[in-house]
Amino acid sequence: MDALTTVCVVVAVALGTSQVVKEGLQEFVYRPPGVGASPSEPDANGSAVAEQPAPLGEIVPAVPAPAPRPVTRSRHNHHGPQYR
Amino acid sequence: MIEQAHAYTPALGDATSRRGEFGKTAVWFFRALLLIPFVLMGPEIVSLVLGRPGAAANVSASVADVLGTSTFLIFITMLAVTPVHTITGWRWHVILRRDYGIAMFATAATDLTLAATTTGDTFPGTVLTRVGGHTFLVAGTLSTLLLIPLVATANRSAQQWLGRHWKSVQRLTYVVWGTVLIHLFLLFGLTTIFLYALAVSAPLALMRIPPVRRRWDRARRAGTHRVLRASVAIVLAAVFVSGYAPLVNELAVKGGAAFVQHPARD
Repeated sequence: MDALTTVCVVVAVALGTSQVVKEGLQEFVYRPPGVGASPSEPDANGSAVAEQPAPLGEIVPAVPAPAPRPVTRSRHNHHGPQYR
Repeated sequence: MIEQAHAYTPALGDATSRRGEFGKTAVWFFRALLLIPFVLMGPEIVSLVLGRPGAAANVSASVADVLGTSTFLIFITMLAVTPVHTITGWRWHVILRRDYGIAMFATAATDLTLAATTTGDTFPGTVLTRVGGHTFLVAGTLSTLLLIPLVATANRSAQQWLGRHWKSVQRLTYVVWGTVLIHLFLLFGLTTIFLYALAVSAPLALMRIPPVRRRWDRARRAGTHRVLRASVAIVLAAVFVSGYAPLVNELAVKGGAAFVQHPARD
């Protein structure tokens, strides 16, 4: 029975290790909300709701759109359409 | 005197036989409860076997909620057998410990098999990803695998074969208890289901502490400290029910949705 128990533990550990090697530690440890079990009924304090992380858009500030670059004309290149 | 004794004997015999009948009926009632997870998942599993459209997605959405919660409830009920014996002295229910242990393995193995085959939408990748791609999956899979030696030795012949070592093999139950709690913590964090799991575990763990168990047993046999024992038993039962009732409710809600094949999508 000890051998059977050891085999069971080794199988589970090998499974986890192979997934860490294959997918990376970040993917292995991080669990997106709702994955694995659907959210249960929120309790009176609403802690189940509070656990949900904010949407990515609220965490990462919006990057301002880059200003259009002024068109610089090369003084040395006169092959542009404006010179035709 | 002798006549009086004769007069009482049939009455006592009737009471014993009535208790025996009650125990037998109660045991079969508790055994029947073990069919609930399979009844709730039945329609979705049948649809999956028949290859109906959307069946795999339905099973994928329900399997953790219905079979996972059922497995934990069966496990906790199994763990409650010994403390109930310690507190009340009843023996009629002790046979349920083995039945619930075997049923727990059947439910957990079905959960693992269905998760490995149907949850590709949630865990893209191979079968190995679906049973070991995350920390919580490894903890759940390890818990199920550790049930194999427990179930393999849950019979009289294994008990005779292993002798004194049998008890140490059965102590794996406590390791499974730990890995199941880790699995739930990784899934839910310090909220809802994990807190309910702690609430049901606390009284069961307390009643297993050897000095507590010994003192309670001695007091019960001697018939002393009745008020104290009753008060502590009520508190322990209240804590247990505060965790057990929401879990049953969770199973009823999610299981009902699974039975009519309209599971809640994540």
